[in-house]
Amino acid sequence: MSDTNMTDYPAKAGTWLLRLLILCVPVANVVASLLWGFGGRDAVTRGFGRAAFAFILLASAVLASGGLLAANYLLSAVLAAG
Amino acid sequence: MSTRKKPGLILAGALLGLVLLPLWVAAAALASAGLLAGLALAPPTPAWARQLPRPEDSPGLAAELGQALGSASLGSHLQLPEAELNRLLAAALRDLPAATIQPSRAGLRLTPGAAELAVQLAMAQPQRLAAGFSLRPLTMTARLRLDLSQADGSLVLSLKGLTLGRLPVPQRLLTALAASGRLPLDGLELPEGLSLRLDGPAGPHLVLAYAFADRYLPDLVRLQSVESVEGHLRLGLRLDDRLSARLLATLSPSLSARGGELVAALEASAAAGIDRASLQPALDAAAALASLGTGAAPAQPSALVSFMVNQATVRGADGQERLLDIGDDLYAGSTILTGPGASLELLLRDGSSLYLDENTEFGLDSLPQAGTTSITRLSLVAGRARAVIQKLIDPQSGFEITTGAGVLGVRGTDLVLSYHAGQELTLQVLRGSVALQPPAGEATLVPAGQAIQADASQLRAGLNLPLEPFPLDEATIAALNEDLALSTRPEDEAAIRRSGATLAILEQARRLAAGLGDLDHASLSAVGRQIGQTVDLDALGASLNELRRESAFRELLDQLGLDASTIDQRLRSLQ
Repeated sequence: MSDTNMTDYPAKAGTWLLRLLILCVPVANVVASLLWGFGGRDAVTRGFGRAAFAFILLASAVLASGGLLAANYLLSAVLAAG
Repeated sequence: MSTRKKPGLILAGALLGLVLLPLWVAAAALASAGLLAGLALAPPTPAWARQLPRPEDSPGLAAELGQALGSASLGSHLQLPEAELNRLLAAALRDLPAATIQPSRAGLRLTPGAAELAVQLAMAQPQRLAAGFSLRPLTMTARLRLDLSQADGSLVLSLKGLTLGRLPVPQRLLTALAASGRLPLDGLELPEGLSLRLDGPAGPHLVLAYAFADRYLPDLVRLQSVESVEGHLRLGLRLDDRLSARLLATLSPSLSARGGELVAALEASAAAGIDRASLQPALDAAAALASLGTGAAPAQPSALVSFMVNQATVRGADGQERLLDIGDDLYAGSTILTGPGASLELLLRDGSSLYLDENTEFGLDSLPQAGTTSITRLSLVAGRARAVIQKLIDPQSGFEITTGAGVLGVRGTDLVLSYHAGQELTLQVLRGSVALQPPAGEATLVPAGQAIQADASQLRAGLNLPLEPFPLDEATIAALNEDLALSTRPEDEAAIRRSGATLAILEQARRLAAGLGDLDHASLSAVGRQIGQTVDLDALGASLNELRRESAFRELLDQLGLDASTIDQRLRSLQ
């Protein structure tokens, strides 16, 4: 069986739902994405895990930038107020 | 998955997750706090910025300008209220060419030294989708906070803040954008007299030369200053010098003589039984007309008020206080007081200039005469003053500025002196040299580009402690030149005097006309008969007729409410 043959892929909707739920849990999402991405049984799981890991890193960078901007704004507001 | 690999991945994931977790929590908390603070602190567009006149309702710039100038009383200052200015802005917007982003409404809110400009920007024209349905234009109100200052014959508008809708754009971002040259201003073509500068200590600023306003003002007036006061823009106007000189030469001697005759006629009317109280305004104006000069400098030494911002008063030698105006002469023994936000410039007869900053008390103890040996004594009681003193050629002449802490002896100097009794004394010398002589002890010589400063303890010790001059850095010199910039020059003196004298004559003529206009019909007829017998109206009519040949003068009479075409009829009706 080919790993890329989606019609033959055994994972069911419930499995995907569980994976997505795990990705919503802090810390567990990083562990799970690394396990799927670099220790997955098949190519689909490995691809999904690596994409999830990349997404977590990207979201962290965006969130950190937003936080820095917000901190800068708050600091300016506090300095301006007094 | 190999069992060897699994623990390593779990460990790495857990570690990375634990590192990222506080980062997520902190960033999410900060972002939420920033969003909430932004919503709470960002002010909504104020009501005044949402109720601005619509350009499509405006009759046009020429009509609005005529109305604004016509409703204002012509004096050495012209007050334009916000409502008038906003109508002028609406008229100016009406004539703008179509563009993708169109300013649809604009208005100003004025405070002392600052203004807020609100511009409603429409992003697109309404599109008709189907019968009964159309897209509303996407609009946003941009508000610019501007500081208004004057420098070198221009008004400088410095950008101090920008708010787009409810989003305040930080000043640091504006300055950085301006400095980076990335603002899309390359294609912006400004009319002559306007220039936009994006660098310099003031940050991004627009420079508006006063000469730019001449094309929009009537021929007879020239713009000399612009300042923002609460709810008004105050324009300093000087009459066109050619017109002033001609009016004074033609009309002043005649009006001066007729003023005396008018006083006699009005006195005779009062004696004949007309209520004296109702005649009093006209009598006062006629007496003032009789005593007005020709704009020439008075015989005794005086200091001319050449420029003024906000209100300043003078206390005469008799202790009486009165408000000052541009063109006033001040004599020895007077003390000038400037209030908060006020400043004043004086021209002395020897060509020296003085600038008095806000909250300053300055005494004119002895004033210089033109071209003669004289000792000038001035005193700074409190506040800050700049003195640009002409070089004294005659060794017998002297120029002294006294403070409570000592006497400054100067010869050809540009200095800034700040003194607050018992607190501090600062002397900054920009040109020449100054000797500071304390009440007891040796004088300290301060050369050009240097300064001395004395604090409370040194002042208490009578400046007997040694004062060491220290050099002034370039930034301080530039700031002094900007803060205490002199906007009038000694060569302006004659024009300022002529403008002041002309405006005084016109103001008294207006008051005389108003005073006579307030009389009832029977009284006016009786006064008219007296005037016809006593006043040489032919001579007055001849002077007026000569001036009326000039369009600028006709315009001036119209502005004063004296319709030139009916003056002859009025004069004839009096006879």
